Amino acid sequence: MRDATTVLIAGCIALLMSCATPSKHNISVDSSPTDALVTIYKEQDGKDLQNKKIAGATPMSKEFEFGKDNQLWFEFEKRGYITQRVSARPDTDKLEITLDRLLDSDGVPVPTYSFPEINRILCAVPKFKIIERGFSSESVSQDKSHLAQMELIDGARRFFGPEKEIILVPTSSDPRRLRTIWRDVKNVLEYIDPIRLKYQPEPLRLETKSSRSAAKHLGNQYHADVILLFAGKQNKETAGMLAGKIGMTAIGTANSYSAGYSRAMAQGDSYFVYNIYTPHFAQGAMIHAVMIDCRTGEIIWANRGGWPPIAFNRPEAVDQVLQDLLFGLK
Amino acid sequence: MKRRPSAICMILLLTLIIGCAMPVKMGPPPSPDMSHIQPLPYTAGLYLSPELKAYQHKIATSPFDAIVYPLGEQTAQIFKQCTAKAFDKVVPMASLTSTQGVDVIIKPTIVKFEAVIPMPAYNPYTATMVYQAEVLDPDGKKIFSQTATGDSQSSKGLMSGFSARSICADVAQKAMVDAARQVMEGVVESEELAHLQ
Repeated sequence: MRDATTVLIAGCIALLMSCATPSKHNISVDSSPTDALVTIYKEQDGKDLQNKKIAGATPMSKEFEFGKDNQLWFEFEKRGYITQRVSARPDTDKLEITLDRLLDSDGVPVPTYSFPEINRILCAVPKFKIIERGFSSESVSQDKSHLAQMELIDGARRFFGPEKEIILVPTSSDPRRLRTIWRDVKNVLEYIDPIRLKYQPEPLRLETKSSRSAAKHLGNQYHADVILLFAGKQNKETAGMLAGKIGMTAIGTANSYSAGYSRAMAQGDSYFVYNIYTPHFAQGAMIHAVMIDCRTGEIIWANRGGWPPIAFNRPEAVDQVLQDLLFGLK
Repeated sequence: MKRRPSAICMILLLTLIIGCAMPVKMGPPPSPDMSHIQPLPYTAGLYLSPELKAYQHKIATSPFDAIVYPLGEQTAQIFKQCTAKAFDKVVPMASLTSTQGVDVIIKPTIVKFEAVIPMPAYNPYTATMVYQAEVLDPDGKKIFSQTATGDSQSSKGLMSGFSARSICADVAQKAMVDAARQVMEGVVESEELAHLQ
């Protein structure tokens, strides 16, 4: 009886261990040419954003976790090359593929990703607003928004330094062309993946002929190589809202305390529990930045990020944010 | 006697369940400001497909509650307003086959709609709408397309929870009007339609 019990317990432990231990295996992944973005999918036709993971760029060697199907699909993407997806199993030690060139509709190879030489950067007034959220309503602060917009431009000037000139195109000077560009850029900001951008097989361009022409015209007019645009918003809770939230949580905590105390007294308990409510503040900034090649209308760089509320009246605070946001542009 | 309270409870429960999934009330959309653009001297056919007009977007807010946005109805109304300001004359089209008397056909579609219904209720309510309008010639051949993204944010601060459904409706409507306005601005200001003749 004891032997059977021992065997049963040992079997259960072995079963639990095999369930708990993930199937991880090291694979060397490479491609010709190198520097292809590798994305891992759990299914061959997987397009599910939830079930894909970016593994990195070739060449690399790392551990990959195989699920119960014991198979993963590796997708290789590189600008100017046809995307390929191959499978690997846990017994795969090395995965190497050769990528084929991608041709455009005229049969010409799509150029590989390259960042143009930049001497002059065109900027438009950022589409950035500061929303003040009060106790009973919220509204856009025009003055603070304008300050933030100008500080983003000045911050960009400090970031790029004297080597690259930044020219601000006033909205009033060419509202139609700027409107056209902003319209297509807003769509780009909605869909763009800053990490995958330079690896996408085909370059991402402004959607319409009008916006590409507008970018080219402005580039020629101001002798600029690229357009750098900022967009976003900052939610800032007013003092009244903050005080209201603190007050509500204090009242909630006090109520919970008094209810717990009363129950304890009524039941003769020597201890009681109560809830401590802490206020939750919903404020912060989200900023997008995108750079467009004036000649072609191609989106050559993009980034976005979230920060706690930014003190736009302090240049050093703005500089810190732009060091993060514009990382890689220098 | 016992049956009556049970019956009342059942009726109340059914009403609650049905009420929780009813579309949010969206009034007539505000007229978009397109005064800065010059309408094109063409007759445009506006084709709103049956699928577009019937489209509803549902967001489950709990296992028992959902917010349903009647996006199709609103989109139809908004594009009727916007195209009327973009062209000298607009003709509604029941299908893409009856194209007589029009210079271009405008065919809008909903690309994406997203809304944030916050928890706690006093956080910002946001909505984003992406429309695409295909511009076709009278033979139904595509000339070009214009996509545009509209967004909106609103809240009533700490009082938001008392009017959550109306804030959801208001924010969605503003995002839709913003996107549609931009789409039609893009169509009017396009190079392709500048010299259509």
